[in-house]
Amino acid sequence: MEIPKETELMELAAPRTSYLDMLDGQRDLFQNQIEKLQQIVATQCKLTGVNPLSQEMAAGALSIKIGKRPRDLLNPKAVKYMQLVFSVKDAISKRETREISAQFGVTATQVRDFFTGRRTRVRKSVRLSKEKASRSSAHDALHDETTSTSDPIMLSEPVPIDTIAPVNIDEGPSCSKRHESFTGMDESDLHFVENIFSLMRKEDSFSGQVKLLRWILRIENPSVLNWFLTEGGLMILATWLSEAAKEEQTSFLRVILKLLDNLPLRKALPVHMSAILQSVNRLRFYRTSGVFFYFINEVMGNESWDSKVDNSEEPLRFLCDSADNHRKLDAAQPLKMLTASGDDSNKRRGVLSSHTRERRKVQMVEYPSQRLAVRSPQVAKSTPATQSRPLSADDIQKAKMRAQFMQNKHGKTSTYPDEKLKPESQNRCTSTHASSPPSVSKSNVQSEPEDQRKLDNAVSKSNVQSEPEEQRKLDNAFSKAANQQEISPLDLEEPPCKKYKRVQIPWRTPPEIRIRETWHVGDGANSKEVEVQKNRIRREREIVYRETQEIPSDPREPWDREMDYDDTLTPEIPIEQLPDVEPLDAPVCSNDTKEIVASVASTSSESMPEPDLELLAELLKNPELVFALASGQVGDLSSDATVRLLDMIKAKGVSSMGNLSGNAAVEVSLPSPTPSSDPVPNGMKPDFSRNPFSRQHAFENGNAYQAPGAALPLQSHGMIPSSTLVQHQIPATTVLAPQPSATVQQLAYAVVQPVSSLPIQLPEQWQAPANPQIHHQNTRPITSNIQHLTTEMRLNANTVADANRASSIRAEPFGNVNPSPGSVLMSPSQSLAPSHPLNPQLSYIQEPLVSNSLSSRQGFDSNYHYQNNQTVNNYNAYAGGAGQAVLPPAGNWGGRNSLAERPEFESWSPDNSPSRRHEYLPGRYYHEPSINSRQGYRPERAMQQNPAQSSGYQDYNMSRAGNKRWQDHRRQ
Amino acid sequence: MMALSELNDDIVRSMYVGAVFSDFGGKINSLDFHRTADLLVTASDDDAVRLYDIASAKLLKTTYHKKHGADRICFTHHPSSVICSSKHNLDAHGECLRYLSMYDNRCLRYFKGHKERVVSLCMSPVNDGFMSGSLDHSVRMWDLRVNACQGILHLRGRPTVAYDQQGLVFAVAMEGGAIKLFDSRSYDKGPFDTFLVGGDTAEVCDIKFSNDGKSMLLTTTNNHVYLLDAYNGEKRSGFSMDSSPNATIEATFTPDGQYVLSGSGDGNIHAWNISNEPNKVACMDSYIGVPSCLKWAPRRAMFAAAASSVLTFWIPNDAKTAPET
Repeated sequence: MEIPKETELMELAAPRTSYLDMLDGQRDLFQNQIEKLQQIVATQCKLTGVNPLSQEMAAGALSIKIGKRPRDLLNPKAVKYMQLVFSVKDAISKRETREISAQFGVTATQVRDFFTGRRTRVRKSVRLSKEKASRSSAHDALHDETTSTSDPIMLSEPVPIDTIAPVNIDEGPSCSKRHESFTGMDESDLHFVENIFSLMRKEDSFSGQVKLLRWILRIENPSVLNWFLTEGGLMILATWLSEAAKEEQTSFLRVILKLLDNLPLRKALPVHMSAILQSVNRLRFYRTSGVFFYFINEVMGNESWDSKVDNSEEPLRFLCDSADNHRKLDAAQPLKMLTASGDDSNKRRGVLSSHTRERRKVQMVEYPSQRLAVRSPQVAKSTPATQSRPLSADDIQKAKMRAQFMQNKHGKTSTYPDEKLKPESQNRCTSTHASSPPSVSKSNVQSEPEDQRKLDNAVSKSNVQSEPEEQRKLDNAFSKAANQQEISPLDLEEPPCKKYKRVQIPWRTPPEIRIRETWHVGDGANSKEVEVQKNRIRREREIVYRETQEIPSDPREPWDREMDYDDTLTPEIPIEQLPDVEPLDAPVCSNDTKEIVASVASTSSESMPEPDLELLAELLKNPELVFALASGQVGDLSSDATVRLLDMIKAKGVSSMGNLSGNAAVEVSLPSPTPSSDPVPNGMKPDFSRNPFSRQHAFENGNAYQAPGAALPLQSHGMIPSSTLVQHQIPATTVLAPQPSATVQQLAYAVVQPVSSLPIQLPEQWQAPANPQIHHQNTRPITSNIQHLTTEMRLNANTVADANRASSIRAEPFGNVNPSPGSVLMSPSQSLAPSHPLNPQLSYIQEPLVSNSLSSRQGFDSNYHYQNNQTVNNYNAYAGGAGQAVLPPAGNWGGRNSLAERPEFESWSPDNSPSRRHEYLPGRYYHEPSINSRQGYRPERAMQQNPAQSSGYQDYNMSRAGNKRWQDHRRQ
Repeated sequence: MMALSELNDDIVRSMYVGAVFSDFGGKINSLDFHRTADLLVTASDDDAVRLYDIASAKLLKTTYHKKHGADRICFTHHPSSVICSSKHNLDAHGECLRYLSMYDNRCLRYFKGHKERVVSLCMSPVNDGFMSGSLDHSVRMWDLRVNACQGILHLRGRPTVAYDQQGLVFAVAMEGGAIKLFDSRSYDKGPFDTFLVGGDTAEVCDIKFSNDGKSMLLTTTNNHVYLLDAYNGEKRSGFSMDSSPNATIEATFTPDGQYVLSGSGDGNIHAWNISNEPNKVACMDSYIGVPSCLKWAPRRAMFAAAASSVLTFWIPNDAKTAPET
């Protein structure tokens, strides 16, 4: 048993080891393969001079996705089919494209590219064959200097088929002009002048063109160069540039740019300049801007590009515009805009680089991520064409400036080779080796794309400069460049970023500045949210991003999305300033009211040692009363009268204190005039009148309550004083009829009010029955009563709803409303100073007094007078209100109320006799309140808010004030 | 270093660039200091909100707001919470204002209501109230704690808002250079005073109150700077700066209320001593072009100036002052 076990174990173990072995073996295999791959890469690199992985490395560093994804690859079937199609026809319609793409699962773009690629290839071969023929002739024409270009390999060099053949050549120089006199022209220059254009026009291989460019580069005589420019050399260069861009001849491009750098472009014709700029602009799309930025950086000026936004944007915009123009030009030659397919151009490139490497080192200077360039034509197409605009004088001006800029710029950038050569990739080493030893010596292996790019620039520059005359001139070039830099006017335009970097002083924590305590500068002491946030932060984890890439594009959303609020409810804040606040209006401000209150207190003839809470309570419960009080003016009334009146009220209040209903009753009392109309009240009232201020009244009231006629008690309660007055009046009144009605109305009103208020304030609605009774008694006013009732109810409802304590609310509105008189009311609510209650009374009585006296004086002449008076008053009030523009309601009420109320008022106002003043006053006064209430309430209703109500009252008060004034006037 | 109780001409003259931040991907739209902490926040066109420590001149945090953008920005009283106005997608979401926490990069609340871009934003110095003025010709009052608008003012022209430093009063500028002063506790009653500056065409784009509450500084879109008595609106001085096309400038008080600094279209920063008759004490090259944002730190001898996409912190150059003193 043991042995088998052993064996089993062995067996188990054996496989295990074998597994391990297999793993190891596999690992070795992979290792081998990797090594082989590396070797291959290394060999390839050695042979070709190009790191075959450079693209991938660059792309990796740039985090760009390169290479064809599986779905980008054409499947063989599709390729076969398309080749078939191509053999039949070389153009393909959109529909066919779509069909093919649908059939073989390739994209339409791929199909299109395939065809264009094929087309290009075919055309190229055609072209090549032609070229071979022409080359031989061109060959002979070339001078010794350029003959080197024409070795056999060169001939096999792929040449663009779809170049924009120097179309502009016609507008180029005519040979007849060529013999203009040039100052300081030497042999070579002369030769140049004679031959350059013909050669340039003839030459259409890149290598030949490069030679020509070098030749031009060697010309130093400015007048010759100018001649070259003005004769249209620039146009040819522009054409070449666009060709090169299309064919991705990077090194060739650099040579052209270099040449452009050297030429005195500022002297070029604007037309030519714009042409060249258009071409340059197309470089924007060249290899995702590598070369373009070269241009921008090198030619336009490095600093200006990345720092001075204004500066750099402008050229960009300009270039943009010109690009579109250019595209328009191109549209005329659609065939030449054919886009090269990816494979195609790559192949071509491969051939090209391998061929030229040995002979033309410059050619080596290629940007690694060539593949990216494949898409450039499409990119170019996709730019919006809407921006295009004609070349304006402004643009031309800019172009000129640009040229100048480029000129100035030149020296500075050419120092780059010296300074920035350090980073260099391996393949660069080999390529640059022959031409620029200095740079090679500094080179080390590093393949960071950006550095490479810089390096490319640098190398190409140095190559370009040095190659024509080989190494010996290299040093000269650099030194020259250095000189130029020194005198470069660019320093004047040194971009700000450099400036502030230079002026920057070492950071030190700035000293604190103490802020004076006395200034009370806010520090958020009352902020509740600070605490909330502190607490929240205690719960939450702080989030710190270490890398910029980590930062999300948006912050996290709130924990809970809140409901949208109803914006229609947002209170509107007036932006118009209230007119200068008169004392009357003052109460609007709490501060002001306080002051007023104070003043009132001081003026009060009799001040109680301590706040009379009872009285206060009564007053508060009884807006009408408050009203009345408020309406009066301070000071005129005899203190006696006031005190008595107050006492009376208080007495009522006290009696009523016991039950809430009492309150209502008190309120009722205000409209007391009603009793006259009511038999029962009348009966009772006489008593009251006799002892208006005695406690008895309270009793009486109590009785009244008990009495079946609910209405009566109510009335009696609050109204005792008034009722008595009324009664008195009644006898006196000449016009009885009107008065009763008025009183009735009043009564009704009074009753109504309690009722209305009751439902809200008091659960027991015992008074409700009372109303009907009253109404019954006063048949006529019923309607009006009802009106009142409704309004009142609303009012009350509002008030109650708004502030749960009706009393306080009422007080408030009053306070707000009545500047001086109102203040009295306010005071109770705010501070229970005894004086206040008194004051109101005073004021209240006083006001009526005045009017009374007036009436008395002016005689009982007639109702008319009174009426007149009244109307006038109203009018005044209205006017006052309007003038003061205190509140919108003012206008309303002025207009409306006058109608309803005045008649009544008149009717009984005549009755007033001086003797009965105060009695009368209440009545009248009450009457007024009712008016007010009406007037006021309506607006208020409209406004649906407490303040509105108050406004109504206020208006009323104002009217009083106006009234008084008016009366005074009369007196005088 | 000793705390100063007030600045003097030499210190103001010696202000120099002490720190430069040029890593902005777009124009800096606004910046704000925290009232008490040494913090600065910026909002820029690269939709980023950046938080800086102004004592050490360090960038503390960056957050992105690609969806809404970052236009006007304003600190709340909490050092890591800011209010930022939106630039993008105003129509789609109406989320014109966002209450953001830089602490955990969260939006705490959206404030909706404005239909157009907010051009003026300020926080009450004392409580959680804040105000925003928008190109939809309205000013809205808000409270940080609720998303409902607390009040709205409809007015004409481009509104500009500012609280005084005590939080008692706020000012709203509207068409025709009218400045209305409101009692911040009873603003529902309407303004209690109105000042007029600069004529009918004046468009005030910035209001500041001095710490002592005595002065008001108004900057208009055509680069006029007015110094007003904050109590009676009397114009104490007017400075006409060089115009700067498509850029507004900003003027600021120093914390002691003795100096006024203003950017200018000529790329300089001008400084005046306003303790008596305003007289110019310095004219400094901003080095960064026309400073569109210029604010003095509330409690430091330091100010921040931003032009296009560069932010600079200015501090007294002791090397320069030492020999003079």
